[in-house]
Amino acid sequence: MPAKGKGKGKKRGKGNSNNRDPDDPIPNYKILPFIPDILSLLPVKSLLRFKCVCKQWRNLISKPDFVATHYAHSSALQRKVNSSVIIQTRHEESSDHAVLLYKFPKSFVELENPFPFFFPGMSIVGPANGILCLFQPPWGDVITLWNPAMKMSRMVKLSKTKPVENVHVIVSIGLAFDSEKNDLLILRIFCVGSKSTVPNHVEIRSMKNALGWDELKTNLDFYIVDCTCDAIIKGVPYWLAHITDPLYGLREALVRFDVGKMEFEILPMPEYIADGSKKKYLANFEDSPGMLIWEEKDGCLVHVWLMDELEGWRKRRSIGPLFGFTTILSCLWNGYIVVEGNDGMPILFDPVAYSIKARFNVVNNKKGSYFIFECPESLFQIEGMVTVKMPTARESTRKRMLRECDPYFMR
Amino acid sequence: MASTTETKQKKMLILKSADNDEFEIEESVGVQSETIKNLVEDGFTFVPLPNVYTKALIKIIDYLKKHANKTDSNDEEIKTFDKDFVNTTFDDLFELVSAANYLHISCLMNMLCQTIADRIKDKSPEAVRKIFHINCDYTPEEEAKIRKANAQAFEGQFDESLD
Repeated sequence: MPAKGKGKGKKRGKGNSNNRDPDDPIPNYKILPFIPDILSLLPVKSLLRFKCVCKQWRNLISKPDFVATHYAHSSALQRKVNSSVIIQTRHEESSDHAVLLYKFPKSFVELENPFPFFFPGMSIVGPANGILCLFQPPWGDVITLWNPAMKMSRMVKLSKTKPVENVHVIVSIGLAFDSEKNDLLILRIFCVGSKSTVPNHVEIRSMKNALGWDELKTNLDFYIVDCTCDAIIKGVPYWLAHITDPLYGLREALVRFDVGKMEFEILPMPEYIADGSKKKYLANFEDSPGMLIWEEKDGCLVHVWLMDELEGWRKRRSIGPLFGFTTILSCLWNGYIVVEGNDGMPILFDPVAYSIKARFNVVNNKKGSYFIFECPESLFQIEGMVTVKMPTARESTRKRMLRECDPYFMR
Repeated sequence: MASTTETKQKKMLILKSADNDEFEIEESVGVQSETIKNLVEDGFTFVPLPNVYTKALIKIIDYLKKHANKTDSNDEEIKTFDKDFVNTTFDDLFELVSAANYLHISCLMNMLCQTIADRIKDKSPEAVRKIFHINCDYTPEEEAKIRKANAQAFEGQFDESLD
């Protein structure tokens, strides 16, 4: 893996020429160059605690190349053991938004999430480099960036742009990570309907650019109906979209945002679903785009496709036949899929062993309100992030939060 | 047992530790180390290792021999060997990780780093300082400030033991 090798090389160089206190009585001075190799394997909580071991460790733990190596390790761990499956749902009675961390084999921990719990809608997009973006659909209000492992968040002010009536149907939010510039980018696409004569209005917010949102000119016409991107692969957001084809009329396509070129790119869909009659789920398969395609009927096969950058789409295998599920909620990085059972509850399924691994039955939560994704632990922080505080007194909290959120709404 | 004629045909290498002890091993065992492999490709059969001490080298040769004979059937045996291999003191592990890095044996390096990480992850900063022989260079005020800024990481009980 090139990224890993690069990181290690840098660290070694630093380690050898470290500017330690000459009085520091470390007998095993030889091992110092390997400290980053060891620490980059630790959970975020341990690393935050070990910042107070000494100044050298604190500096190391904040360095961008260490943060990148750590995230590469934590992503690799995620593929092996699903250490961090996050479930978004709503409480049965209050309808409050809840975000839970699932721990194998069957326990849940509610995470302190920064989004105001009482708003009517909350969507999550991510992760990009361990950061999730919470917001309110359909116009992408109250954009909140959140690092769940570090329990830190910040809200992001919107631009003055407003959707145009009868032109824009939804705002779709995408998250991207530019590893060259170590910068997180938020995309806000004011989506037009398929009969529109004007293109989508796209705005981009670089978290390193304190000036705010920039308009992104695009010549491509594509139509998005979902309020979030459908997958983020290696920091690049992908959308299932439609394009107008001169021969066939409206047809499905995949759209992605090329972070290096800062432009959109249209990709084909697997041949199989050119007619658009099947259900599909876009997934991250070992850092490549993958697609699950199935027919909406009991006992159906789920076809798994994988996209190769050079050779295009290839069918990998078929899973099933599957019975007793209504839809596919998620596809985890290790290949497990999460389906919604007939009772509305999510089921974790291993398609290779053809067995049920877990049932995500969260007590007191609404059936059918689940959204499931993975978020490897990350040390990545954005300027202005503060520690998430769980609200205490409900009524006063609501008032305070409403006041605080006011500037983050489109007005 | 293997016949003497067979042993003669095998290419052998001599490794010399930092404290001047010499060890003869089969070339096929030695080349699992990238450092040794490069020297062998340049025609060397005598390999001085000025950064690796005898104590660590004996253990590492053991490891290389075991892993050179890896087959599908002795998977469990190797797992048990690896488990015993890392079941030692922190200072020994540091010595080994230093040697594995110098010799460029990446699978051993990964295993040792993962072992150390797993063993320190629930420890307190004080215990970690002692294990790594680090003197705290913060003033009490500075340390209090960092603890406050990362208060959530200090919730709960931590392992104070040094093994």
